[in-house]
Amino acid sequence: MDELKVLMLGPGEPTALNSGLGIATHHIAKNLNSLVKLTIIQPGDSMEETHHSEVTGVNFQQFNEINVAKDMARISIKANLAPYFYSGYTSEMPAKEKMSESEVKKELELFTSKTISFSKHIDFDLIYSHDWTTMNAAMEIKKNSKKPLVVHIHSLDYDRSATHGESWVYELEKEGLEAADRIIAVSEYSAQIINEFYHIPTQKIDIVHNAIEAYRHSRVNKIFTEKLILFVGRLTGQKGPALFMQIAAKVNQQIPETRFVMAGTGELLKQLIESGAYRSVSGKFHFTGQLSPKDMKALYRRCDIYCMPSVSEPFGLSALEAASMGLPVVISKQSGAAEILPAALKADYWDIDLFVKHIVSLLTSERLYNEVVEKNTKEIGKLSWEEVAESIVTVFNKVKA
Amino acid sequence: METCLIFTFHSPLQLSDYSFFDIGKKKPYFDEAHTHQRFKSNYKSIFKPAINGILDLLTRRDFKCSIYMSGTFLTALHRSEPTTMDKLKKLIHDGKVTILGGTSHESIASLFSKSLFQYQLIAHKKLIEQFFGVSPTILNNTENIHYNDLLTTIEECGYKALVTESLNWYLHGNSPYQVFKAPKHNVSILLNQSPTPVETAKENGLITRHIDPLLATYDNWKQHIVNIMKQSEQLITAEEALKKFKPTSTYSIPMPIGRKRPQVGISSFTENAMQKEVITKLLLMEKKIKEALNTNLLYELSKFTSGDYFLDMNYKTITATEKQPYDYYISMMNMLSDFEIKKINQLP
Repeated sequence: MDELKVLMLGPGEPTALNSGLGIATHHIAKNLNSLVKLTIIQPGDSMEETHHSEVTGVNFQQFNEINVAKDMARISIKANLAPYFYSGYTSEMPAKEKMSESEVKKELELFTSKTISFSKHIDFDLIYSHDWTTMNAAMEIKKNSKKPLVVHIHSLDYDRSATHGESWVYELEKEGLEAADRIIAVSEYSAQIINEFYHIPTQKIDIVHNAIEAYRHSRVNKIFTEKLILFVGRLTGQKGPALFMQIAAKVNQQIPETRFVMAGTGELLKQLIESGAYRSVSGKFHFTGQLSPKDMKALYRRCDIYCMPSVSEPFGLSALEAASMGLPVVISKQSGAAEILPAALKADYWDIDLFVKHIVSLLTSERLYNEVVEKNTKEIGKLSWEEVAESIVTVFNKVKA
Repeated sequence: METCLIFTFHSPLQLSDYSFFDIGKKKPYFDEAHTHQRFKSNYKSIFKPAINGILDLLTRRDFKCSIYMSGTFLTALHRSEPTTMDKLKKLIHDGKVTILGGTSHESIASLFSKSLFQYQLIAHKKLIEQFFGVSPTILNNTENIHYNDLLTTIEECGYKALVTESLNWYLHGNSPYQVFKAPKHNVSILLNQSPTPVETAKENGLITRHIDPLLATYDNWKQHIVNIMKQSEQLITAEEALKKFKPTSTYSIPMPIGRKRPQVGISSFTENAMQKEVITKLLLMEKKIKEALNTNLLYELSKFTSGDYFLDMNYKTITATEKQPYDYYISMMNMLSDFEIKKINQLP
């Protein structure tokens, strides 16, 4: 059987701004590459230029804005496109913070037209696209090539914005989801949203959970005598940072020997700090700002409990990271991670008291603490990106058949 | 009118950037290289021309003045310009210059903590004694912050007078051109005034005027001062002013007041949530230190109360462009946490 030729339209390499999404698609591409013949078109501007290699079927000489990575055909289109443009820009990027809707639309249009023109030089059997930034291009290429389209959804406008589907991004997503031959959702939770809020029949949706690289967890000497409770994420409404502050205040009231760490940056950082809401846990609430992956791991090692009170979290890769680093996790039921961490303690995002109860239980019962850690570590050990890639190929085969 | 000119000099200790991961790693709180570099660059462009201009004028028979230098400035000046220190010492002993007391780190602790304020006063006083061989008796508190509640501490530290701002509201119809007394304490008060209209300058009385070379942008220092001299009958030092003008009226200040200057008022130091949180943390730590009776640590803690650090945590007054107030806040809180676990948690 001939190797399946897949044209992947990606969101770009992992950066601080698309962390979970970028990491997931990076691993997916890496592992898919050994199963299918993969060509990637994605926004971005820096690729390792030194690793050029011959890729048959693509005449890269024609493109001057592209770079080819060592083992994968990748076309990077210079575009100022971040999937979280309307909620995730960090305070360190004041110039882009106020990127207007029309500017984003313009960038998107440019990216789409370049993607379409590049695609004409590529030989492929199937289009595989990720999230809304690639929707327009994917639909157009499908129309021109008559090739089937698989859309992989990592997060939706429903999750990211408070309006829950009153935006042009929602309309774009809906159109793309309708045009797709099959859809891959990262969780049952996300599939349910695609069905309920985008009115897509469930028969069209397959669920493929993300995986996580195995981490070694070595413990470090604790610097604080208090227990550290950690929040990680872009500081946007979706991630529930304000809820975490409320949880922190109540936990600290019951157990004063606690500290709280909020890692990440985002539109809300300035607001959260200026509001002074953390003052109810005076002097024991820390902000770290944006952290590198290396610092992030160091932080997991220093902390004792991970808390993710996301309002809507299609997956929640950082919860898996925390669990794989040996932290017990207390997470919202409105998350995909809850489906694959059976021992995680869960609560509805609005149920502050239950979050508090869970955290207090973990702090007061060593037995429970160890049980949660061990069960989750075992469960995570079963996950692998190889299997994720295999499941995705299974979906590809469904549309080819 | 007789004029009492007060020149003020300050250069802060620069704080290190302190991330969450620096906590517990013995990283120093103050960046010595940066501190020295900032002093050097300001010295060359601002302090040196000002000091030389003043020293030059002081060779004239009719020129006298008062000088205030923060502790951090004194230390830096002593380190890089010891000969200037010697010249000043001689002028102080000759009665041409009154050297004023203040806080060692240009601290705003007087707004929230009597003990941190007191340690700042004591540390500054020691520096003056060490460098000039005299003990200051007139206080020039940071930003001229003053209110009645501070009087006990001020008196206990050996001060017989202080300089603060002239506010009409508290003058109750009295002329500002005189020396006042403080309520219930044996402390005299000199009132700082904005530039005075020419007609009042001809009347009898005393004008006290601050000149901060960092804020004043004079092309020609000497010329500016000579103009002031022309307007006034005579220049006198703060010491002489206290001898000559005996207080009759009381200047009673129930709530903190401070120097008037553009964009910065005393509320600029304590008005937002970040500044309030830092103060709360400082007070919590002060309490712990006091319980352990470790006064050395109180002085160490007071170094974080420099007014400069609080202005950096305010959008209205921040001067850096590459950083945001909350960057300073995060860094400051990390330092205080480090101080807490390193020093305080190990107290008996």
